Amino acid sequence: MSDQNPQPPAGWYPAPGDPEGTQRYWDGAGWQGGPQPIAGAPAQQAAAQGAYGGQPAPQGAYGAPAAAGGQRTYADWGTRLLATLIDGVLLFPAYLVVLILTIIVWAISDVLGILVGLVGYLGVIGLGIYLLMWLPGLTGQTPGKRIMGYEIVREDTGRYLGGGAYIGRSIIGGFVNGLICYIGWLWPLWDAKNQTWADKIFTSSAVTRDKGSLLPLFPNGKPF
Amino acid sequence: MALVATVGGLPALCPFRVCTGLACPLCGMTRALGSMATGDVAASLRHHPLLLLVAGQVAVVGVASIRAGGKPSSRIMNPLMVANAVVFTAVWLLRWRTGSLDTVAGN
Repeated sequence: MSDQNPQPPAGWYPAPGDPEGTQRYWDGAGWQGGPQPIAGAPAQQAAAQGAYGGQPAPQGAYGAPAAAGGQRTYADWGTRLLATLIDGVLLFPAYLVVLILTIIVWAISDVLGILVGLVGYLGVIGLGIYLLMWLPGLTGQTPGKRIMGYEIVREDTGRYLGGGAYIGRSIIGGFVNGLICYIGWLWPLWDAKNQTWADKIFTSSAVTRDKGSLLPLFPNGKPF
Repeated sequence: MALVATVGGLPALCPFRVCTGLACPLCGMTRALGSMATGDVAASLRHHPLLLLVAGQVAVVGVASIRAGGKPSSRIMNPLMVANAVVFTAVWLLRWRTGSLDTVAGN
């Protein structure tokens, strides 16, 4: 995020730290998506997989299939719990900003204060839904998952779930997970594929990948 | 321990019970643990009769996993979880029929 002057033009480049034989899309300011195998370099790609220890993240063009034969490692329960906790406190600063703004404006005008509070509150909720339920369907990751180094993919295809399915996984899956004393959330503790009940229903799993940073919140630099 | 023992006086921690007023097959387990912690075995059994079954499983599987340095084998866990589902559903229906679930759920 630091040494990027002068900025190279947008295009496909091999990114530092990525396996050999892969490239990422550089949009002129930051990397978009994850490593993609370079067409015509299958041998190199296979070799890189072996050396990498894990499967190159199946992403980039959203819904791109995972590299065939890649070996997956699943994120463990503790890792996933930490990521969830990080995501849980993520929006707290935004709430605080809205609260302070509301109090200030309220002192000037009651009506305006209520308006700012309402709009701000709904805005934070919208941001939460977007960041934690919609975006991970397209990128595989919430900010917490980025920090902890894993992503949510379809168990069978390795593709990302898509925004709608991820929202379903969050709401319906979350409800089902908590239905019987939260057992669904504890399931990864003994499940062979570390799946929660929500993962079972939506055939998803948490696959490890290289760790990322919290910021920027929108890794692709643009809304979808 | 003191914290666990006071759980009986707290509002329900279970969102399912708060939302639906219904008792799931594990309903009363926290209170059973609380009663057991204070040594009131009779009350513990009344809240949920299978606390010791759960505690035993957690202990055995936990120790075995730590000794094996990894996750318990799914060859063991899958049948165990199926057996649990059967036993807990059966006990749930029994508690329901005898009306003991109503007192647990507070209905």
